[in-house]
Order: sequence, then C-alpha cells, then structure tokens
Amino acid sequence: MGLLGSVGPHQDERPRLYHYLSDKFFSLSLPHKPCGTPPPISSFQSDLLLRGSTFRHPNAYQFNFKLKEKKMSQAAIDVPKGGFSFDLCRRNDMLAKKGVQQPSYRKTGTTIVGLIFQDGVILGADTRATEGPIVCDKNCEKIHYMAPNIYCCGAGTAADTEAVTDMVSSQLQLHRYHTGRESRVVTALTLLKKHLFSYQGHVSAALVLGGVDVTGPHLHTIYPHGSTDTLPFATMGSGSLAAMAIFESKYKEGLTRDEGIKLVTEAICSGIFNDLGSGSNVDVCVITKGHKEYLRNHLSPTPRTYVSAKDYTFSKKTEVLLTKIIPLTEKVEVIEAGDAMEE
Amino acid sequence: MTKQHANWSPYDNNGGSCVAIAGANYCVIAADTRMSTGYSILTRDYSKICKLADKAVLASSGFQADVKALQKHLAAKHLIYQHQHNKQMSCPAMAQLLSNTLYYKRFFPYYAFNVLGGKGCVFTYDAVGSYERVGYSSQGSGSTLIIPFLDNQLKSPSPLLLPAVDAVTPLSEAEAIDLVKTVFASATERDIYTGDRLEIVVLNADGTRYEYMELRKD
Amino acid sequence: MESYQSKPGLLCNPEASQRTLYPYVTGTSVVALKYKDGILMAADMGGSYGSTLRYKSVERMKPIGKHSLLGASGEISDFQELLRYLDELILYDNMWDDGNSLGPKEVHNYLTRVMYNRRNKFNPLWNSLVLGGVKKGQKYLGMVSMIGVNFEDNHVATGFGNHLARPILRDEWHENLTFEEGVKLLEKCMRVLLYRDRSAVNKLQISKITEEGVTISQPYSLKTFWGFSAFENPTLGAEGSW
Repeated sequence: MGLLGSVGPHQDERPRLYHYLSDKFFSLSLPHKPCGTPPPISSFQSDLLLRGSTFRHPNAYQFNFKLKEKKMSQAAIDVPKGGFSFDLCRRNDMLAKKGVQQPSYRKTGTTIVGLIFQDGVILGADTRATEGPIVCDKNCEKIHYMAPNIYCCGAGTAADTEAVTDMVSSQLQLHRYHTGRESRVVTALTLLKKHLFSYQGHVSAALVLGGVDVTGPHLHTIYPHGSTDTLPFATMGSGSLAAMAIFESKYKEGLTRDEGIKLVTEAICSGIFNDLGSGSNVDVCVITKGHKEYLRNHLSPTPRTYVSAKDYTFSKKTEVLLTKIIPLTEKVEVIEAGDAMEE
Repeated sequence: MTKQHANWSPYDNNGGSCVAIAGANYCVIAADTRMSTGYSILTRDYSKICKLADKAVLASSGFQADVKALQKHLAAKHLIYQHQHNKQMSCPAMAQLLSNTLYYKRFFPYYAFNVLGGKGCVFTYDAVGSYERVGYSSQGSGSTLIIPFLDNQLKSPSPLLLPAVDAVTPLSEAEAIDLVKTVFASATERDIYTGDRLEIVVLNADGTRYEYMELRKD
Repeated sequence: MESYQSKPGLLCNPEASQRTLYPYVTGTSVVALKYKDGILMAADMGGSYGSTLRYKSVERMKPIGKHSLLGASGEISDFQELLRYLDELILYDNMWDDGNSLGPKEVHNYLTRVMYNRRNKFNPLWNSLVLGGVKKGQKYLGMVSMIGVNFEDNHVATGFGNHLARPILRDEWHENLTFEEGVKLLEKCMRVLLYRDRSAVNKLQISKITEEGVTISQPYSLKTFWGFSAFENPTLGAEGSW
C-alpha cells in the first residue's frame, strides 16, 4: 500500500509537465521570428554555446524554473514568444565563471565568392568544413537555397549560416504566397541584415547573397553585424583574400557565362589551395533571368594521392569474456494495484 | 598609438606531421613538407627531416625556428663528438643527447615535437625531453589521426612484458613504406596542416635512401 | 607554451622595458620572385604610423654587399638598425681582403640568427625580411620572420602579401620568367595589394639583382581602375532596403 500511495498523486501531473517542455523545445528549435527585445548581449553567446547541454541534462533546477514561468504566463496571453530563448543565460554565465568548458561549435574556414556576369549572377563555394585543425566534412554544401531565383553562400558558424538562410527562405516563401510575385533580392537582403543586426554580431554568419529578380541581377555581401555591400564581385570567409586576389586581377564587366564560371572556379581554387580552412571541391550556382543551374561539385581539383594496393583491414574481433547471460534479480515485486487495495 | 601588438608571442606553430617505423633491419622516417602559419601556407617544400648521424635521423614538427636551432645545436654537438671519439654517434646516444638538450630549456622550451629513428629503433619525445624507445611513433599536427591507425596495424608488444620483447614491427621494409604512404594520404585528408609532399627516409643495411610522394595541396 | 600565451604579462611587461612589443612606424608587404637572370623584388614606399600614413618616401629595399638585396616590412627603425649591423658585417668581411665575400645564403643565415637571437631575449626586431641574391650563378631567395621562422622559395611575400600576392604567384610563376614578365607579375601583385591592403600606397620601387649587381628603380605609380558601373552609385544596388 505504502509503495502505491506514494506513486499515485504524481501521476496526473507528469504528462502535463512533459507536454509543456516539448512545446517549449519546439519553439526553441524553430525560431521563426527574431525576438522583440534585444538580448542581454554579454550572456547571449554563452547561451548559444551551451544550448546543447540543456537537452542532455534537464535537471530539477530547470524544471522548477520553467514551471514558475508557466504559471506567470498563464495570467497573460498564452502564446509562444518565438525567437531565441535566453532562459539559461544566467546559469551559463555562472558556469563560465566557475570555469566550465564551453562546447565548441562547428566553424567553417571557407572560401565563398560571387560575381555579376552579362546575364546574371554566379556564386561559388568550396566544400570543406573544419573543426579546429580537423576536417569534419570533406564535401559539405555552402550554397544555400533562398528562393527559386536567389541563392546565398554562407561562411562562419555552420549552424548560424544554415539557420539564418532557412529562416529567411521560409519568410520569402510566405511572402510569395501572400503577394503571388517572385521574391526580390533586396527583400532577402533586408530580412537577413535585420536579423543579423538585431543580434549584434552574435549570430556569426558572413554571407554572399546573389540572385536575379525583376530589377535585374544583384550581388551583396552581408557581414555578421548586419552591414551590407553591393558589389560587382565579392568574396567572404577565411579564403576571401586568396579569392579576391584572383578577382582583382582578372574580373571585367560583361563576362560571358563560360568566362564567369571559369573565373569563379579559379577564385575558389585559389582559396582551396592557398587557405588551409578551405579545400576539397568547387560548387557553382549560375542564376540567370528565370533560370538557375546548381553545379554541385563542378570541379574536384584534389584527388587522394595514394591508394595502397594492399587492403588494410581492421579486425572486428572483440574479446568474449562470458557467453552465459545471468538475469539480474528483480528488486521490486510488483503487485496488481486493485487487488492490493482491497486486501 | 594603440598597443595593438602588446600580446607578442615568441612562439608559432608551423604544423606538419612526422612518422617513424622501425623493423628488425631497417627504419622508415617520414614527414610532410608543408610549412604553415595560421590558415596560410608559408612554403610547400620545407624538409622537416634532418640526418644527424649515419644511424640517427630526426624528424621534427612544431615551431620552425626552434626546430632549426635544435638541429643546428645537435649537428654541432655531433661534430665535436666525431672529433673526440673518431666515430659516428649511435642512435641511443643521440636520443639521450636530444633529451638532455630539450630539458636544458625546460623553462623556455624548444617548441619541437621529435621522432628520432635509427636502425631497429625509434625514439619519441615531448617538447621538454621526456622520451621513450618504441617500435613506431608519430608526432605533430596529424599524430592524433595517425597513431590509432599504426596501433591497429602494428600492435606493439607491451613495454611491461617480462622478459622484454623487442618493439620492432614485423612488417617488411616495403610494407612499412606502403603503410607510411597510406597514413600520410589519410592524415592529409583530415588534418589541414598536413599536405603538399611526403619525404621518406629509409635507413637499412645499404645506407640511406630518400623517397618522395605528392600529397593533396588543399 | 600555453602559459606564455595566456599570461603575456609574465614575460613582456610593457611598463618595465624599452622593447619593441608593438611597432611605431611600419612598412607593409614586400613581394619578391626568382626570374631567369636573378631576383626581382617590389615594395611600396609608405611608412604608417598606426593607421596614419605618415611617411611616403621610405626606401625599404637595400643592397647588402655585392651579391644580396634586402627588403623589409614592419618597424622601419628596426630595419635601419639591422642595416647598421649588416654594414658592419660587410665591412669586417671586406677587411679580410682575401677575395672572398659573403653571398646571399650567408647573409640570410646571419639574418635568421639575429632575428632568432633577439626573440630569445624577448626583444624582437619587428620585421619580416626578404633576402634575395645571386652568387656564382646561384639564385637565392629567402625570408625571415620576426621570431626567426625562415625558409627559401621561388617566390616570397611578407605580411598581407602572403595572403594576396602569393596565390597569384603560385598560379603564374615559372622558372623561365623574363625580366619583363617578372616585372609585370610583380606589378599585378602590387596592384592587388594596393586595392586591398589599406596601408599600401601607390608609390613603389622595383629592384633587381643579377650577377651584375643591384638596380633599384625610381619610385613610380601603377594604373588603377575604378570604373565598374556598380561603383558609380552603390546605393542603387540595394534600393528598397535601408
């Protein structure tokens, strides 16, 4: 009886708690609208860094915190806020002060470029993603889809470039449903810079945005703090100088499509070979009026240089210590609830 | 005037990886030839391998200026040794000398990560002179990728075994060279500081042989 | 090594010493390459005081002895100090009067030892040096950094040049460059540096060293192009944004 009695009262509360948490996490993982009020800047970055750990160690402290917040918000309107959550900023600051190591996040050394040619825009990117000195993805995609007529190359923190381009891409889609017209490049530009500026550089995405709309071809660069440039040719990322050296010495106005692709490829190759943060293959995206062509792995200039004739094998064998399975003795005897109560 | 360079550092990391494998009657010492700083390449053709004596070849990565000073110091010591003893230094003697030289600068260390190969032996070091005789070893930026591969393929006997088992690898010379080429091709795939070209020095009964192989240049 | 970087105060206390731990007047990149008959080197003539362009006629390339040419970026006063060392070195070498003279290899090695020795004393010469020369038909081109890192190559560049000029040099350099092709290639590099390095100025010298000796050109300017239509009214490109 005693055993059951203590379990009973909690039973109806638990599902509600979990339900709430899953709602909350859902709104966290899909930030579709930037927060209305600017974040407390000093603590924001640490919040981003430690976000992963909140999922891994949901502890009692968080539970209580969220429950309290729930009661408070019930009094007002119960609409999820959207945008990033800053709940854990204080905790993370406290942990950082105590010397807790923050988890690293994937920051890609990158070469991304873009140029305007006679009938549109060409974007280019390398395909190396690094984590410190280690290559963690040899063939990643850095040219992101924004709209059918707009693409965007991203450098900086991989998660930020992906999140920010996806968010804006979705807003552009909704805008197209609403207006029934093709998206404009300035619209994407404005949404991106607005988002990045509101986070004061803490969303570390450096972008090259290119597209063709009713007003013609456009090429922009967007810096993590939200400043933008309008350029005939642009480069970004750790290989930007190597790529810019090529553009500055070879770019001309009114290039043909083939010349344009060749120059973009050359600029990316310059980044691949001269910048250690960039490497592997060349991705190219050609956007013209009413048409686009995504040339994934347009060039692979760096094949592996040695494949041994010998087949190196890695033995799968593990030491078998015991083949007999001993079942653990059951510690708790479970008694049917109804019968126990009656007796 | 802003003090923008107040955090001057006397060290740099110029990257690169070194490997040495010893067999019963040979030793293969290899290193890539890329020298870099930060995210840029300084030169694609800089040898990290230094032949100190007939039977002692040193491969070092780390801070190039320190490595160069260390090599010059050891070469000078070896010259004096030759004048005094009228013979070449043996590999274990050179190994001890290297250890002492590194420890001498304990509180302003040479930022150099060394492997020393001689016939039938390999010595591996940290930057301040702690060293160990092993059958194979790797040092430098790609060593974290290379060592597990070598461990898997070469399975060195435990140094705790009694009676002591020689740590040399069972591979033939050609197999060892093939293994070295494979580990460098693989390390170049994943380590950004390793690449450009591989320099292999083979010590055996016939003397010293140099081999080269191209690596990825990105 | 970690402890030196994380606590710079331990080893370099700016209050208690007169060491070059940050530069005052600096020169920017030097670019050099081997060509058919010798070495070509280019450097602009700007001397920056922080971000102020303070001096506009600084000569940053000097002949050393009979066979060498030295180019420097970084602290100008340290470079001039180094030139005094080298003058003495060459003078004493000359006084042997034995018909031998220091070649580029020897001078380069001397420079690496001076730079490394000064970094060991935590009193660096704040320069990146390029040394080129020809002796007995052997071309030589090398570089030394502030902390003693040194190497030889077919083409070298200091500072920003390593990021902007070397990609071009790696693409276009070859063994048999003629003098004209070499100068053209250097000018291409200097033009990119002029566009993209804020402390570069459009007044440069090119020097060459061959078996016959050193020739340093008069200062001159490069032609630049700013006529891209997107440059004419930049705001037009993002009309409708803010």
